[in-house]
Amino acid sequence: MPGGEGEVSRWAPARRRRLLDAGRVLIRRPSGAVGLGITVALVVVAAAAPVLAPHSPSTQFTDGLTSFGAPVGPSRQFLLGTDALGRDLLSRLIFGLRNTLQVAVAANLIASVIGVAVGGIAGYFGGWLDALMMRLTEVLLAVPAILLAGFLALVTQPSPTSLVLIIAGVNWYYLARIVRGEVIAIRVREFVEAAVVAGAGPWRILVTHVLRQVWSLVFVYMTLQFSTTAIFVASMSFVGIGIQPPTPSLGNLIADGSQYLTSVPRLAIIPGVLLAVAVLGFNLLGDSLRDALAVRD
Amino acid sequence: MIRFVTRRTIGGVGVLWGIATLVFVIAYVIPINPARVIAGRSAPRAVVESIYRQLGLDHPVWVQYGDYLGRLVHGNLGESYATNQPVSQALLQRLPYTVELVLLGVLGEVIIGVGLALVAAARRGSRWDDFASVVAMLGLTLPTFWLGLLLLYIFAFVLPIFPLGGVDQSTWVVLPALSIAFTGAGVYTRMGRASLLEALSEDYIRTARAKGASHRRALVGHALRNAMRPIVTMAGLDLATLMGGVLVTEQVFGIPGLGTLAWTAILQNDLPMLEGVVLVIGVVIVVTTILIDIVYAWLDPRVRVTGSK
Amino acid sequence: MTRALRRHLVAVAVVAALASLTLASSLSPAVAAPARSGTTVTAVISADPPSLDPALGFDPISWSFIHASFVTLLTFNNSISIVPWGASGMPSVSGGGRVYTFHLRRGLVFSDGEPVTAQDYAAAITRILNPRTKSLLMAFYQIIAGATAYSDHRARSVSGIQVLGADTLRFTLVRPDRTFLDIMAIPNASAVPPKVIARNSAQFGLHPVGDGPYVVQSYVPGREITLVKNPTYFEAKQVSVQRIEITIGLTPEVEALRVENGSADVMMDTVPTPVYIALRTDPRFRAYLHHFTAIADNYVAFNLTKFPFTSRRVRQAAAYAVDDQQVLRAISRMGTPLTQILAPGMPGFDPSVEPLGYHPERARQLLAQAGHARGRGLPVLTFAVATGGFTAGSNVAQVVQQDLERVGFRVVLRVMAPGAFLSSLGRYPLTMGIYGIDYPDPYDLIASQFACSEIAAGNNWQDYCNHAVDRQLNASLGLSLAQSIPVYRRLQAQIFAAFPWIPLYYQELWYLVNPRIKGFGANPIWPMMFANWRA
Repeated sequence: MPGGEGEVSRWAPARRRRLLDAGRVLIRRPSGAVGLGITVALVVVAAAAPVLAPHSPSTQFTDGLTSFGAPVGPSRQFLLGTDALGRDLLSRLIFGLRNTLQVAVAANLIASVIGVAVGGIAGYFGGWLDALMMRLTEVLLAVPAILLAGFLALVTQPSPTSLVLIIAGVNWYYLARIVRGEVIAIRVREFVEAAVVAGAGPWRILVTHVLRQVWSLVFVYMTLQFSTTAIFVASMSFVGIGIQPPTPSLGNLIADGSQYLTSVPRLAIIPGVLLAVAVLGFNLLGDSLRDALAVRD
Repeated sequence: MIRFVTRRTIGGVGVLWGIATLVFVIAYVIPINPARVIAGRSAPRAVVESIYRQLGLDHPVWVQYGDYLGRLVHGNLGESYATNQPVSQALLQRLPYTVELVLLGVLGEVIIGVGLALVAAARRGSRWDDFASVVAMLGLTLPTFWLGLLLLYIFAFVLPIFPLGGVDQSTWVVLPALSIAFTGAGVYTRMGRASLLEALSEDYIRTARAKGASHRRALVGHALRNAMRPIVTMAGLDLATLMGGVLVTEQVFGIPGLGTLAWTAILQNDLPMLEGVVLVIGVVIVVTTILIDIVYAWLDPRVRVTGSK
Repeated sequence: MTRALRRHLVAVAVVAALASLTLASSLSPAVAAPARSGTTVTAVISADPPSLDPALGFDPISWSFIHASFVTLLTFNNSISIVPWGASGMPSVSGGGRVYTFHLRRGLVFSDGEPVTAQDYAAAITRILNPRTKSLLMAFYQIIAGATAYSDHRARSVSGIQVLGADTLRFTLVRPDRTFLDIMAIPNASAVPPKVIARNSAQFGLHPVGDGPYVVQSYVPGREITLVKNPTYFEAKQVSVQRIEITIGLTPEVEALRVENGSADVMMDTVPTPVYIALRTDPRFRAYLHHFTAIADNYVAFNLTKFPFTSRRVRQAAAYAVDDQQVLRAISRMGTPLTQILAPGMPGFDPSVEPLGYHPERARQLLAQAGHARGRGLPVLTFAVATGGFTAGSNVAQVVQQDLERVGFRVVLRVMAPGAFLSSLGRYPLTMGIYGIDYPDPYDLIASQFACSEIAAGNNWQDYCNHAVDRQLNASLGLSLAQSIPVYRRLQAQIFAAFPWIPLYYQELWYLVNPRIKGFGANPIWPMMFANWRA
């Protein structure tokens, strides 16, 4: 979990040992081991996509379609069959996974950093700063993300960067509000008050005491956000931004494939299952890691 | 408490003004000439120019902004560029479907999600815990439109129990609400489980346990109440975001709700309609947020104290 | 403790079960008794028709509805010849082809009881010419004398429209134009009731009142349209179906499922590729599938004013580079290769013209001759494509993209919602193009897509402009159809020699209709002929 790593590395060295303990606990739990296994496997597949994919993901093979233009089923040449344009489904899945991971990781990372910063500052300092920031998030929350993205699509040229920024731009405020709520509850607790009495500055307290308390929540949120992001990318393809064809993403593979649910179910089901496995892996890992880290208390 | 509510209401009006302004800014910067949209692509230039003046687009931007706010204050959302239908009339026709779908969908999410969270937290680390996580995750991993199509195919076509899309029968809401509930429940399970476990390890619950409160009492009486805080937040946010975010579900099931209306408006560059949808969702969200804050204050008096500082 | 918890969980489960029981008990019978009453037909459509107002609806689906609920003086029969309908006969033509005199048939009545008069037809055309109506069709009717002055507010009425009594109407044109009969036969030229219009002209499309075979009993946008047979229609005896209930907003996949399981009779959208693949070979649905070829051109338009497509050689190279067979497979062979501008079914179509064919080697040579061997010196070309249910459009675009890249072009797709797509016309070097006829005169296909004036009007997507071609097109309007066909054949050959397009295909439209519905004969101009349906 990228955001998690960022948070972890900011910790004081003394906490590293606890992290190691947590790692041990994580691997000992079967769900944690499975989650770690899936995640590592998928990241390796995504990273090695050009080596692993049997074909180019966008080559349309003349023998990949029947003479009537229907996709062909699994064969030696096309292990999972072909899609509606005679392209190798397996290769599209591998590259789709890669593209989806890239966008999801980058967008989530940016969104989480913004969300934690805004939520933490608003919740901790309160007052007009809080009011201003929360009103801003309320304004943004009031515009449904997909509509805002649709608006933005009309004014921006689509590119991977603009896609990441749009997704991050419409995702940070959910987390900001959750973090703020937690921070408000935490900042009146004894250990924070003790730190104030001990003379620690507000920023130091915010980073070392308060945010430390919420990061497991942030973590859980980020793992969940992965699937949401992948699905959001698919929805955005409908609006006309998102990853443009012929570049595959898990989202647009599912979106295109779902039209074939009753005729070529393979096209609808296999990408859905791959996305499910990926999200399952990330979620198992995140959840177990959270439990393992909670052990330190 | 009254001061708290008043404060939040004033804040809410401010947010509505912010939304209206945001919508205006976006509509203003979009490189599309509304007059051309209305007139159609083959209209003579004179027609486009006459519509341009009718819409007041030849005035300076601040005059347009003032006119726009003035119209909103009087409840005039304008007319659709595409159909000439008054926007407020279209919104009233569409709102009930979305509200029904979203309310039942979120209710389903919370029931399924919190139920699974209780199972998971009660038997932490057991097979039940894993089972609950897997069910929660299964839902989370499935795109709503994918699940929706699958549900439609199985429970409306193969087994003709529910209607095949549309809203022409009273049971139309069941399958779309289920697909929202199932795909959204995971968030509640995971948040609920995390909060329940956190609460169970809190000093006051340990104290209660030490004083002889049962595990069940600790879990349901104390921990659940504590866990309801993020869940209420989440449910409120979901209600709000789903108002426009059920677009894809509405598409799959053919429901003429706000999402479909907004989608059509995007396809047609129908700005007044899109503005209307965004504003009405804005009103719903602002009201919901204020209600959540009040519930928050009720659940946790500390918020009220600090909130009205 | 754990037992207590289990009890609690059981309680939760019971509550959940009760909740679902409550839901279940409120269920009405699974599939509402499908309309099997014989005279009711149920249909499904994915989106609202753009408008039910004769002044505004200007697309095949809107026309289907307007043609069902209003009567034009003339109309097209199924072999797309012009025949009288609201008129008692074909108009008399005088004044050297400039003056058309119509006589109304007796017994035309609006469904609110008002009789239809010549004045109502005059008012309908005048309403289109009024800028306040914001009609797309204003330019069409400016062929009438005095129309431009009226539209520009220089005159209070249209001098070329004269009402000569309750049932006689005379139009005077600015110049002889045989296509005037066509624009009096498209549904936009229907009579509209003046009193209803006076009350609320802008929203007439939401509550239309007409004199056609059907009355729009209710229209809830996004949800449903109900048509009921109009007892006062003058040929009501020939209308068989009593009631047509149309559910709006389902996806095409779900629409098809509804027709397959019998809960709907007619799918008003064309069958999408994935459904077609499944049903084509299924013997159960053989009798459900109907098809005909749309009179429309599908092509990729080069922007002739933008580098590199300012060069004829580069255009020719691109046109040769695309594999027409692969394009046809991308649409599951629901079409035939495009050979010329005048589509099959249009008078003047020349079956002897061969398709351009797939010549990738030739394409590479031409590109090299143009100084761009293997794409050297060519920018990345943006290819604009519209979405909105046209997935075949995006699939075809990807085939074109790959074929162009194989000979050295670099192409990126820009898939846009239709609104954004139309606003972007002229901005990108390549545009996925489609043009369906407005009326069955070859002039429409050639002039709308290639006249200089159509660049600004938004139909000439390649920005082709040749004033010599324009002059011949204008002159042809004074000729009879038979006289003008050789002119159009010559013109289309001349235009094609400049390679303005990558020719793609003429599309076959497939429809899914329960075989209990008879008379689903499609009219190539508007697909649904409700009044001909029998059940």
